[in-house]
Amino acid sequence: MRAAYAIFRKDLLLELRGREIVVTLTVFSFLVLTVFSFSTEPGSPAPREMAPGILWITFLFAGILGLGRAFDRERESGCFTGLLLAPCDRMQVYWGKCLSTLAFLMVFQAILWPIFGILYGYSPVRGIGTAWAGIILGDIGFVALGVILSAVTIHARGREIILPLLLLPLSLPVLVGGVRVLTLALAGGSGAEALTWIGRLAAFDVIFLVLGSVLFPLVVEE
Amino acid sequence: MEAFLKAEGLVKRYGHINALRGIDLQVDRGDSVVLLGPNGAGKSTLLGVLAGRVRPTEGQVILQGETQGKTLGKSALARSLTGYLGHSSLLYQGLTARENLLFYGKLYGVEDSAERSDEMLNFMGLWERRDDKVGGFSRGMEQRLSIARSLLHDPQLILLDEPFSGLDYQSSRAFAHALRQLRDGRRTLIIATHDMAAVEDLGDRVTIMNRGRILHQEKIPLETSGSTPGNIIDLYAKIIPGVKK
Repeated sequence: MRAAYAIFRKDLLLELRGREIVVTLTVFSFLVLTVFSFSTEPGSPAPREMAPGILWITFLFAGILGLGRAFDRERESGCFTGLLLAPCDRMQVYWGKCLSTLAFLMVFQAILWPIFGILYGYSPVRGIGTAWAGIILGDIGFVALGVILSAVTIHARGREIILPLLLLPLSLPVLVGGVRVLTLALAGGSGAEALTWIGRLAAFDVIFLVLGSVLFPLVVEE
Repeated sequence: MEAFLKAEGLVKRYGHINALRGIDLQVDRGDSVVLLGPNGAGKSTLLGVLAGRVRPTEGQVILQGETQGKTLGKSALARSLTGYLGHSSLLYQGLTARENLLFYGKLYGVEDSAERSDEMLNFMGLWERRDDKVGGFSRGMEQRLSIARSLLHDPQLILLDEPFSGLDYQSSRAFAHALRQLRDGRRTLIIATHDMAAVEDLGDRVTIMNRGRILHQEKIPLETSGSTPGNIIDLYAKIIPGVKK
């Protein structure tokens, strides 16, 4: 995993220097959550009831934005080719990009979490373990899919449109699972049901990661 | 003795476009081959296939006796033997020169990559600028750093695609000087260029391509006429239709 770690470290270094991805995602998500919270009559219970869905949709759109930015860096000066020419298993390139994208998503989500609590009237510590288990597992599945699709579309014309068109429908299992776990966590609902959904999310992750690892070396060649 | 690099029947199609139409090429260890040809001749595609970046539609590449798979590009071992300098520098603009080399060193599994990076920065005359971001480099400096990147893992086969493009005269000569130092009999070079003056300077053999085919191969110095740039242009004009001297 030497090459995967090198890619992860390089991405972190670039992000620490520019803070481009995390800041962009946080500002974008903050705006989306704020607009949604003001979109209904004052005192209406609707925003609170819809909060888990709103948060996950925000995560997905912000995630697409983040993937785009992360791969723009690889596109500049042809750096993605540099990764593919490295004498390592190309699966490691996939794992490296997955690790760094996952780290960026989790950092911005951790910043957003208390803001979400304030805007939608939830205690940030209520059901936090279950909620974050769902968020992390959902992120892994999303990133596993997103990285391979970003690699496929990296040189495509109109990739800003193609990526969401491909990624959003395929991410539906993640969205459904993530929303269910978050709803149960915030409502303090049955632990058994939340665990079932967490198990399903973990199963999606395994499937997406295995598929991604196998397909990535095949789809990145011209 | 078996050739160090052998390409057999290479064909590459992009949709209905035939970029390569049956390329056969043999290069011995330590040779330096200059590829000439007009834009669209297939030089970059050929180098891309040899580098393992582009998958051939038909044919195969044999490097150091090892046949390279068609479905997954070159093997990791073959990639470790190859250094590639393409049209793009493959360098991260937000990292410094040294950070770029350290990253590629780690990626390529170079032992003691810090020491090797410093050695290459010195070799390419970039030591003073080692801590500057690549985004602030001139084209010539970026190109020199790019060749440092491609040589970092001490490759046996060096593939250079238009290495002089975008360089001013001074940078171009400095770069040619660095390339001459690589012709040590151990490394094999394949250089695609439009620079006729570079042919005699850098090549043991000139290979002229057009429309995805190799049309002519000849040792340097040219047997019939000598290898002044003027004579190489004459040869090129004779082989490529429509070229005026």
